[in-house]
Amino acid sequence: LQCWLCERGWPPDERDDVVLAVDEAVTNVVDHAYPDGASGSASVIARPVVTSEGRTQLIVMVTDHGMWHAVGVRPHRPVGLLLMRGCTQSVRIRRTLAGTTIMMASRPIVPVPSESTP
Amino acid sequence: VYEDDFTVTTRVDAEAVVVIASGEIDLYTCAVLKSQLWRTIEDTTANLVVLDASKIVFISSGGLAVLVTAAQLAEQCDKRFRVITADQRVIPRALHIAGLDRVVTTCATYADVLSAEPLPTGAAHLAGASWR
Repeated sequence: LQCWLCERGWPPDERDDVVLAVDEAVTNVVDHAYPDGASGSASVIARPVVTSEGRTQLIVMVTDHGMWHAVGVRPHRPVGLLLMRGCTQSVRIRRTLAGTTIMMASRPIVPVPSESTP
Repeated sequence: VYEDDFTVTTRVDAEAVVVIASGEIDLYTCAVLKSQLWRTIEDTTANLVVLDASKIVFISSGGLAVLVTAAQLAEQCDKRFRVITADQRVIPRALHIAGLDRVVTTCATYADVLSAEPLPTGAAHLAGASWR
């Protein structure tokens, strides 16, 4: 994801934030979506969009098909949500019987010329 | 180029025990860091435990939880826990977003850690003698 963002001209600090937000969203799936020991899948879909101001924003959807534990949320999980919110412009969580989707929109950026090394 | 390998080693100094970690502190590597920090904080008689995280390139909420609980454990053991960070980008930023920057004390360099925390006479001697 770091490399992918780098190739699209994402500034380093914003890149770090997007990577952290996505990591936290996927960690949520690992922690909560499936019973301990069970295997399951999660999908991450990311799409850059151009805002009305001509900036670029990344829309990321992290989806699982499990049931979130209703109770027993681990103590550091609220921190995960804080990090997701702090690193993006918006976070929306949609839970259904079929699974959970976390949709995040990055802060809009102005692409910078791609560096030779990230 | 990003360094994915996580390593953790320990060094005993006259003034402190220093746990040196590099790479990414994520969901999987935070358990390794936690056990190393726990053992260090509980076993040493030095009253200053330092995590040199200047080569950490990523930290997630699980890693922040390790830092916070290490600070709490150190306090229970009458020791101080400090984290060295190379820049403001990775650990200080994550701590700030999570509202934990008052719980975990970070310093830019080892010299800053020592100058901010003068140790009582004799502590340095004890630290070196008892560490296995």
